[in-house]
Amino acid sequence: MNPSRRNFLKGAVSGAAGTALAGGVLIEGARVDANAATTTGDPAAGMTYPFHGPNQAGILTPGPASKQAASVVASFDVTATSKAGLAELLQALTSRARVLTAGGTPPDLGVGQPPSDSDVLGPAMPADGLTITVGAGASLFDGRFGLASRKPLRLTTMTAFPNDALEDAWLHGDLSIQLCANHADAVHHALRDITRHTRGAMQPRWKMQGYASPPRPSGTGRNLLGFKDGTANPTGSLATSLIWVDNPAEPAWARGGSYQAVRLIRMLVEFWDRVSITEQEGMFGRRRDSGAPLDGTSEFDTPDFAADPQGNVIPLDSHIRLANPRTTATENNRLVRRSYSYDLGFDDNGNMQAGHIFLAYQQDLERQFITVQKRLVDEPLADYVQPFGGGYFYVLPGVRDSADWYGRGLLA
Amino acid sequence: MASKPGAVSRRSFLKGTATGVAGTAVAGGAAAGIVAASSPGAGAAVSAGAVAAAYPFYGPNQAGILTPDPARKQAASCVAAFDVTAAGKSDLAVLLQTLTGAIAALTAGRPPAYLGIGQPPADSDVLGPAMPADGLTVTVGVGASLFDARYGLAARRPARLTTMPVFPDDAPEPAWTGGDLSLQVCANNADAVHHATRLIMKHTRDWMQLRWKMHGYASPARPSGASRNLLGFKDGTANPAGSLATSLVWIDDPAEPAWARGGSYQVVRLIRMLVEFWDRVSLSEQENMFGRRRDSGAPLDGSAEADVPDYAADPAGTVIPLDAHIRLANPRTTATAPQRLIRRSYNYDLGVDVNGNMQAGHVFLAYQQDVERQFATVQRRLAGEPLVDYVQPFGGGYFFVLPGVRSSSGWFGQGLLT
Amino acid sequence: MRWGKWATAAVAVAVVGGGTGTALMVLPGSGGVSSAVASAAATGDTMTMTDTSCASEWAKAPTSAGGRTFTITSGATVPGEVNLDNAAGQVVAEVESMAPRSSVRLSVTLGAGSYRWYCYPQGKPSTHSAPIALTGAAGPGPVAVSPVALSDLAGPGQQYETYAAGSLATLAAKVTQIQGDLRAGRLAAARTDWLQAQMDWELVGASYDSFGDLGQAVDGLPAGLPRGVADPQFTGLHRLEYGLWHGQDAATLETVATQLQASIGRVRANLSSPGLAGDPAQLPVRAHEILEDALRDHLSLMDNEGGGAGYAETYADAQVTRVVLSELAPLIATRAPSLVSTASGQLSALQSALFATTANFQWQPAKPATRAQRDKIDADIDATLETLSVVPDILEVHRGQ
Repeated sequence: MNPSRRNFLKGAVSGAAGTALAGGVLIEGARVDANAATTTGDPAAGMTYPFHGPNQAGILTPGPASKQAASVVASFDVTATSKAGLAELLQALTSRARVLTAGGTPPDLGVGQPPSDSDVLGPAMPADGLTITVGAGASLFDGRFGLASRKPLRLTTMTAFPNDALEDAWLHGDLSIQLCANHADAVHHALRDITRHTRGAMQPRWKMQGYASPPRPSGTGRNLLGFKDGTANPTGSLATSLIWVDNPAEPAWARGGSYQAVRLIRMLVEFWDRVSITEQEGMFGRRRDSGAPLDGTSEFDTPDFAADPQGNVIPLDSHIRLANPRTTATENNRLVRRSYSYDLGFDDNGNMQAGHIFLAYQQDLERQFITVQKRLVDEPLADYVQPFGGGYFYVLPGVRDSADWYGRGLLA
Repeated sequence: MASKPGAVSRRSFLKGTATGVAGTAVAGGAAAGIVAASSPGAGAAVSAGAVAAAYPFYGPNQAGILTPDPARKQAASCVAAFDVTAAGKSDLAVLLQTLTGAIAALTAGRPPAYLGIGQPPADSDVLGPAMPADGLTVTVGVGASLFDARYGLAARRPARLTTMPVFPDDAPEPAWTGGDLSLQVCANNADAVHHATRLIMKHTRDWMQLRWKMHGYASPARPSGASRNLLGFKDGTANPAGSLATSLVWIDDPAEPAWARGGSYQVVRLIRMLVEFWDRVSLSEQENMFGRRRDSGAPLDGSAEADVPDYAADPAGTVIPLDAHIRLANPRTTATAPQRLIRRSYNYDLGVDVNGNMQAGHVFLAYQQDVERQFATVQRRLAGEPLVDYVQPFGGGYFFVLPGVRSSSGWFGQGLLT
Repeated sequence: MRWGKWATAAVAVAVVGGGTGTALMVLPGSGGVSSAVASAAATGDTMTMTDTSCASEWAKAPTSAGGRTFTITSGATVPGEVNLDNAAGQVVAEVESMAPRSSVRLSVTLGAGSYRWYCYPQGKPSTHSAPIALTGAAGPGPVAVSPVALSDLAGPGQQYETYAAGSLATLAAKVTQIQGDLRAGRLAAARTDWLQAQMDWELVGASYDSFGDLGQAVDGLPAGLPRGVADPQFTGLHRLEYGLWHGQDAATLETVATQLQASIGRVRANLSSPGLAGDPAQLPVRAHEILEDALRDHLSLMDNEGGGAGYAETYADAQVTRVVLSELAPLIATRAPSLVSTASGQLSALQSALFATTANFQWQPAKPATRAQRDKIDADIDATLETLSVVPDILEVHRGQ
């Protein structure tokens, strides 16, 4: 017998945890487990998203427009020292993700060990709409694990853009984990469970908790600058075609993955609130109240930049115009954003420490995020925001079945 | 008050409200009790139980303590402490009047008036143009330091208001401790908490500066009963409710200054929880430290969460250890009954600490009519309890929650300052 | 503080209620048992302890292996403990204590095999059920634990006490040296000797206030004291550290060192008391918590009063953890055969990672470790702690034995 409680995971990778979801109905891609809903009286607690599939959940499942209310993005340094150790780490991650996203009563480990679960979600451990999205940073492909030749084509270490003020403590990492759930306690619970079961093999580097606002009063959720954010997000088959890696030049193992850009962006909200509405709207290119483009009347109207070549209505340097010029040439620069707001404490000046966890997904970092970001350099909005952290990560292909694990193709 | 041009006009909507406009009835909610409101994200449509859209602002006591009560407290919160920088007593009055106007408007879901072109927008629109109340309550307290020489209020200090003492197991960090004024901001969603805090700060910038703030969240019932803290235990099961709560919370001591009647002592304790360490402790040890079962919340001598522990039947602590948290905190004797208090705590999550552990814990918020008889006495009894190895109190303070604003012509601290 | 309360001297407890016989029939009206009892009773997995019987329902209960949820009900007149043992006499599940007239839910996964319930009503003879064989396709259940008696720990406890006495003698000699340094005004030498003394104290293994107030006098921190570093109750090694790194003069610090020497004397004089090293049931906890202490206080820099000795202290803590583990090794070996070797490897890795921050074989108080060094230290101590956290659980003294 080996008493290490991490060991009970080993079995789970290839068997025990693959419990099928019991019954339940499909709501926006989510299953609501009838049993969990009954025991908790809260259908949100019983909600689950499928774990197995060609792509990871937490990007289009659920999609940005219906993303979960609570999130954390965490970055880790891998401290395992061999390829086998890395494989063991990714297998442990997989089995925890499988268990946590399915929900269900945690196993009894007997009297000789601490309890298997923290009970932060109670003894039934509901899934609470949890999704877990695992990415790998460029540093994972350095000399340590012999993976240099298998690095995704476009994966690099994020470098500073002209308006960035990057802080080491909030940057990069070998792995990223995006956790989203219907409630903040479920996000806390999942991260705590994952770190516990991977201790020794990876070390938390930074993390940021986030929240999504409900529609105010309708349409897309607002960011902390008061503007609806994500209105023009590609959806449906367009989103699918922009996100999942299918470039034949990419390593074969990477198929079904996606590039993740994380940007931690402080918003100088006090300064912003001292700016006139006209100026604010000019910087975004949208009406603040409705979210409509300045040349339109309702949120989902499509701006007609061609009809306004001088930028008389929507300024040429407005955010929406630079980010998405809506030309044929720029169409494949589009990406899917799935961002959250954050609130921390206070800064040295007594201002609020608050802002935006920008999360973008795409099939080609260079063609999409980096190209768009370069276009946005020196946009007027830059005075009111300070990107200070984040990184580029490669979201691994999905875990296909109960025998599969994150990065199996990468490490094969 | 040293007024800057522009600054005044931007605040004008609030000025008016302090003396008039704000009397708008609270939309729906108040009388009927509860109006369903939106709650966030995917959980929204299917969230259990309705939450109130708005709570009444005017009354003898402030909202956010028993309105809504701890068992129904809003899901999102922020506690912030401020240093008052107002130059004199009259500026302090303006600050408190401004706070009154802002909070009356925000809790009623009444957006600030349009200020006209040439002015920054009156509101951030973080909640959209309709600015719903979203179940907002804002509870204003004052610290002992406000009663120093600056405003000539020394003689009017509430009898029990002191700087929070250092208790034996505390590790206080000055940056997270104390303050002249506290705001407890609670709402149904985190964006509404952000929005209210931000708007209040915007309108009070001349007279107070943020000292520290901590955002918190309440867990939903998992699966039923009191919500759980981050140690995985139900927390608040034994909170006094109803008329018992009322009799323990609001000041009615004749020894207190007359202006203080209807107020309450607020204790804020920011408590780091060493959750990784806790997770390495056996279940029976955890349960002995609390004195309750972790799964059900039942006392160790009972069967269900609501069962009342019978310490008299267990004088040696055989079933519920003598140093268990619930036994020390509330010995359930006639002598200790007046020491009970109302807890209305939240969980918090920050980043990663220097060891790579989660920075997470508990925003302990307690209310009582006598901080010495209640919180301090209980806390001294808890000194050295086994649980202290797993928690680190590092911030917070004692504050006095001002009496409620009774009508639209009143303002916070009117009795104190006049 | 962890101390199996059943292992302490038995204290007479007032008998409450007058019920005899099986539980569900003697319940007083005043809501002792929840409705959960009734529903579980219906499924047949209620087990009842009385003063004279134990789980008589077991004989008629379903015999399927796998996940089972029992409702344990006490119809006894006194508090008691209920254990479920396997055929080897190992404890599979327990309700550590329950009051008369209460009920507790117990979820457990049971592999195929024979099991019987043991009941330990306080002050009365223990009773047990008949053994019942469970069958079915469940995998191996949770790890069962061979019970530990207090007497099993007596030998290791004595070894530890002897060891601690030796470490304290070393510490005392080092503090004498510091007193000499200070008398001669050699502050630099005193700083060097302080580090050695602090490490000597760590090697005693008195983590987590486990030496009580006497230990606090030697190693207390200013946190929690009304006047912080200026508080007269702030004494001992960290008080000395504070003075040595905050420009206090030798004469002042000589007083501190003299007081420290006296405090060490009191620890040595009282070492055998249960509040210090004299309680063998504390030893398994020490094996886990010395390093929890290092993580919480040393590596976080929480107890740094200027000397910046967190890595050195943690190194010493790893060392004394090895000592405690070796004392417990025979007891651990029969319950978790690979634990000691696993932990030993992890401790070596941790010590290597810590040592990697030294230069010229000297601890570098001022030098911050690189991120990679720091990650490695944190990862190694975290992994070690997960392993060690099992030790107090498998070596807990249960009442029944």
